[in-house]
Amino acid sequence: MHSILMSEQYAHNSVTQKNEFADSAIPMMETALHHAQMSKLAARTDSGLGVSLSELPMAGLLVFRASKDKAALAKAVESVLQVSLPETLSTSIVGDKCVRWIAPDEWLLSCAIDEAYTIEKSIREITGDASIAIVNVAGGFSALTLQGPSAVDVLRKSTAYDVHPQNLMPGKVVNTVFAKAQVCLRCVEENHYELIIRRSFADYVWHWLQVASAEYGLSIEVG
Amino acid sequence: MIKLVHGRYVQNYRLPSGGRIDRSKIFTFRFNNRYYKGYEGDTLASALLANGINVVGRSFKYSRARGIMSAGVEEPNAILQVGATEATQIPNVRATEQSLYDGLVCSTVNGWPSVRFDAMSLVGKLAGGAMGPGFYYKTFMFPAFMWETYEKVIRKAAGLGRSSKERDPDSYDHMHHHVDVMVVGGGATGLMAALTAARSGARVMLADEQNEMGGGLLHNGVEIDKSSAIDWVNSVCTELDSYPNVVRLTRSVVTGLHDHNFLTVNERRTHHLGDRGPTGMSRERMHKVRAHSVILATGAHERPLVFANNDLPGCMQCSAVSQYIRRYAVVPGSSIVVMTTNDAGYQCAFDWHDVGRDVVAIVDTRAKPDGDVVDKARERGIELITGSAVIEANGSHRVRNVLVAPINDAGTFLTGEPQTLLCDTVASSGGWSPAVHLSCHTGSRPVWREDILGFVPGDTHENRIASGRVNGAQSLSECLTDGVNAGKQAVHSCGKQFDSGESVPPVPAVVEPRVGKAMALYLVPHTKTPTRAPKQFVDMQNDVTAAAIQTSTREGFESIEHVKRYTAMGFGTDQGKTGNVNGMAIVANTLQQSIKDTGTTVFRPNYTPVTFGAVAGSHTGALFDPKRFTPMHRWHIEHGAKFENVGQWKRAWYFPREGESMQDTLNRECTATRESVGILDASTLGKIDIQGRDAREFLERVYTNAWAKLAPGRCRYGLMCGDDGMVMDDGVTSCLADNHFLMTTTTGGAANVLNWLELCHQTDWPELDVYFTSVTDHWATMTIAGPNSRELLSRVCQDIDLDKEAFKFMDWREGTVAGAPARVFRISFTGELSYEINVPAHYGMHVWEALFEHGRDFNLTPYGTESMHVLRAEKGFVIVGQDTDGSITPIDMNHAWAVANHKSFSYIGKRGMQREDCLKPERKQLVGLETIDPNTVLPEGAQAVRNPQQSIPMTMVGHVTSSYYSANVGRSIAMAVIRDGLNRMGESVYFPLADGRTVEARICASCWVDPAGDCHKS
Amino acid sequence: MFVIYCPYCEEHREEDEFHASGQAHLARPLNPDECTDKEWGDFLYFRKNPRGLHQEIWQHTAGCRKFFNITRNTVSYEILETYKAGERSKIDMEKPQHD
Ligand SMILES: [Zn+2]
Repeated sequence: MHSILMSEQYAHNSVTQKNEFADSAIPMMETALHHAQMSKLAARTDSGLGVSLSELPMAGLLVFRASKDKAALAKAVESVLQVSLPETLSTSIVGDKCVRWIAPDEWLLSCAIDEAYTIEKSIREITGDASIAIVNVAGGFSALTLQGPSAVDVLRKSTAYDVHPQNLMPGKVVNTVFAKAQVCLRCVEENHYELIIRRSFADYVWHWLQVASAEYGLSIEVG
Repeated sequence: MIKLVHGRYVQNYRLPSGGRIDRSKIFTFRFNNRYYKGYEGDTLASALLANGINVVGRSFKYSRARGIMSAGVEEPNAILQVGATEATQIPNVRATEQSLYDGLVCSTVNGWPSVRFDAMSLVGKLAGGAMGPGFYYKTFMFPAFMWETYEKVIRKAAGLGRSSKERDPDSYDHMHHHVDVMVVGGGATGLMAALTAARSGARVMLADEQNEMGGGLLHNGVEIDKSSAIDWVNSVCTELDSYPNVVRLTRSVVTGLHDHNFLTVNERRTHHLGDRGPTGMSRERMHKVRAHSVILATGAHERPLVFANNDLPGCMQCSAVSQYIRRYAVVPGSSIVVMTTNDAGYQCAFDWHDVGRDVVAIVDTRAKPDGDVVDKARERGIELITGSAVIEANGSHRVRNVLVAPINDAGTFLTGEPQTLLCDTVASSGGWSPAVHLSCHTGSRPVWREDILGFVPGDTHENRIASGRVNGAQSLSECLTDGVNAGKQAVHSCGKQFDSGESVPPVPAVVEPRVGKAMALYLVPHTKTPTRAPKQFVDMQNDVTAAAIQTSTREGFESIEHVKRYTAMGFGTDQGKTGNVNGMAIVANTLQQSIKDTGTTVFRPNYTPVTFGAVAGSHTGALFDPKRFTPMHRWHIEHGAKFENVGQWKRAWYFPREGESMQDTLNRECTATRESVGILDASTLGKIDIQGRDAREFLERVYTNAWAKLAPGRCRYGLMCGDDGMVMDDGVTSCLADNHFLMTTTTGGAANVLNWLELCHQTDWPELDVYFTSVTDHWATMTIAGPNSRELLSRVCQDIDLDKEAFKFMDWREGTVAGAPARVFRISFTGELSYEINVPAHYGMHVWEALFEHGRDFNLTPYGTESMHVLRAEKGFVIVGQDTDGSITPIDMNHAWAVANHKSFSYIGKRGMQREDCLKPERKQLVGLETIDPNTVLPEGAQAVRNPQQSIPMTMVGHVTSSYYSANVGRSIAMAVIRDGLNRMGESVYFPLADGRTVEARICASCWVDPAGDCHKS
Repeated sequence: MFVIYCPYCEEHREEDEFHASGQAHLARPLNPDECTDKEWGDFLYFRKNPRGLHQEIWQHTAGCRKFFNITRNTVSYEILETYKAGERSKIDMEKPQHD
């Protein structure tokens, strides 16, 4: 039997919810950029500038691993999520769920935070004894979106990956270097990118993005 | 401050009309504390010339007056210090490359106290004697102190520009590009190549170092397709700009062409706008370009001829004179003598003549020049002296006259008496050197072509095309044809096609004169030998003369690379763009061999100097390196923590209260922990989730101790070695389920350990069914330690049975802490009863604060990494990387208990530990130390000796690895690796310190608190 | 700065995504305990340093985290092939190369 993290039975959508201590039955979640008070900044910046940035609210994140039993995982994912495991450098999307190809034996699913537990449980039930791994990494990352006509220029200042729309097109996902951190970078649609970065680097990347966006005008949106 | 009287300085050398300048935009600038005027469109050089400034600097070695010689990046003399304030100082700016802006402030860098009267010029002559050829070489051969003396003299006397002592207020950045075709150089060839490539739809970048595209077309007055070349340039640029896949950069020098067609392009974005750029705009942008195909259309630099006193202000390249007249409407003198070995040199005489100034003579070194230009010169009535050369210029701060003498056909000796011609300007052309620099950056050597008297790029396996003048094309029509062909070839090599034949642009029509054959001449002969003649300069910036090169060759430096290093030829900021070929020719002549056999030196990046700002980009200040933060970081800041860097992590170091010294804080934190309960943010610990049927087997192989029997719910200390048997990392690994483990690593070792596990798995044991996932960032980890930690935990955790029998030492349990899902590990790095609470990072702050809410009753005390170090040292727990250094085996570390030799698999490190060297006695072993004086704290790193009376150098037997004052023990404690230490308990070792003291300490067991281990099991 | 084809991501990527891990095809001896000190020392410390073709193992650290092999020329820095861990090189390493 695998051990699974206890159910994330406390679903929350708002990162700006008032902090309530100890005795509250509902613990308060903080995204990596909680301290940046993005919602206050959003109120203060203009919209419609060259770039807009938002930190997405807490989401569920599951790493799927499978090599020789990849077929078993694919079947389980199809049955539970109604999507196929994406091919190299691509994504499979259904509703608010997105499965990203990370490596030939690794995928990253994002979903509503309160769904992760059920999804993990269902996939483990279906795969049974197959050689797969699932890891809940919801706390390990921060998800940002970068949008606007100059978003691609900000990316070009930040990563050596070829982000030209002919190469990084909607639906494509790559893991690469971002400034001096790493990123799981996805083109959502034209001029709209998602950046998943390790939580401990979020403040660094946030700082970097402010500097890199300055010349185009940066607006903050509530994710 | 110098008061300016506006209008006092008149631009005497400015023509009343013409040029690519905007006369409605008048700029005032300051040069050496005097004010001058120029126009938008000027370079600093053209504006200085317009104002009749002859002397722009003093030479490096001989302190000779120097003037502007060229009009481009090859300029060796006009190297200025630019900047209106201390913070905006830029050293070594080429005046020929710097656009003029209103308010520009600049000064000479190497004239002290002034360029007109240089106090050093007398001494300079003396110093010049001391600084003959081989100056660098010889001084480097001397002991270092000699060099220091020399260097001070040079820097004070000559100066090489200075950097600001203040923080640069401007910003810099980088931008990455991926293109199919990169075209370097926006002259006729480059424009044609870029246009051709762009029409295929390819992704194209075109970069040129000047403020506008066109190169030589901007001043050579030719017609293309029956209209002015400038109209043609504009139409090409307009078309290029209409393609979304084309990036066209001006003021952008391609400074490096690296492996796999990676180019660095330094764009000067605000240098032309002012002393400081507009806010929000980076001053320089380093474009980092990866190109499938590179077209080098870098053109050529005109070689001035080498003759006596050829460094006098007023000596210029022919093409530079044309450029100043036609592009900037500046005539840099009133009467000119033109010396040329080729037809191209005539143009400057014509341009000079066209603006109504006096052309004294064209001195053609060829006996019978026969190109169309010869007739044109005659038609204009210009005096033409053939088969002759300017052998010497004379004047003090400006050319006054020249000596012209007839020479033999080979140009090796004079055939008659010199005559004197009066003039203030000498333009010379010795032919053109293709700008091959970039082609050399990855090691390719240029190839000499006798037919064009120049080096062209050598072969390379990279996808590169040299095109136009750089590849030896001589005429404009050749260049344009070359450009089309290069563009087509590059497009095809990218696997792209043109839509139809019409997409390829036709080669535009140009009318070209018949050109006569050029003469190979580099060093002009003189009545005296080079050593006796007035100085004949080859490399102006480094003051390398023809005599010095001959001397070095005679001294035995025959390889061109040796000559370069001996004379410093080509070592300046101009990298010998104008002088190198002349120098090589002189070496070849002296050795009586061909230039081909002499070869060339290899040019290295960068083509022109690059500022540190451009190299650093935005990676400065707070963004120099990522700072990683734990989920509780904000709390630490709010509670006054001091931080320390652990790798990229910012960890809370200690939490001082008002009035406390650091030691006071540590004493308080450590005693509070042992007496009640303390809390540490341990989120930075590396954590690796390990799943798979063979997870346990994998652990058996990479850890030195046994894992076969670790049951779910249990934890174990694990020790990891490299193949060499040396300790690599350690941590607690917990069994989450039969096939599922959570490994912890040291904070600094996390990434290395994960990669190590992957390497072992992917390359050595791919058959094992196991998956590794980093969960370092997923978990917020807080350690509560101390006798009251169970009580505290019970206040926030109701669903885990905390009873000491139900939840034993080295157990872990899953539950809810302060409402958050948690894994609680009963492990201890302090020796106290202790729990490590792990919750998903997004709950970290919430749980941390909840613990403090309840911790008031127990004086819950936050402690930082420093107290953590003290507390673990009190128990003798090691920190890998602090108490070990890659040369310590588990046995050396006194961890024989963590080595299981009976495991079936020969785990990593086992064989290494058994090498002869690892088994020998007298290895350094980890022990405890107590100083004789309990208040003396040994410095970490202090070296131990057995007998302090021995003579120096003493035999060192080990060193201190950890050392603290422990309030709990009431004395200083230390750990050290000491040779044979484990067998020498109770013996003294001595530490002779840098301050002269010698500290005696006794070897002891490295555990000072609760040696029986009752506390952590309580 | 190299540009390297990752055989797992099936794309050329910039060198800063990768980390070089030394000579390729160094198999840890199957029974280390039976190796002499010399044999073990050779495995641990002795590496080729050829002028010309060389095979190295690299990791796509910032990408898929997979290890793979590179055959490259140490003089010209040309990369002739990349292939997955466990696969065989297609290059004849004995054939003399031009610089
Ligand atoms: Zn990859």
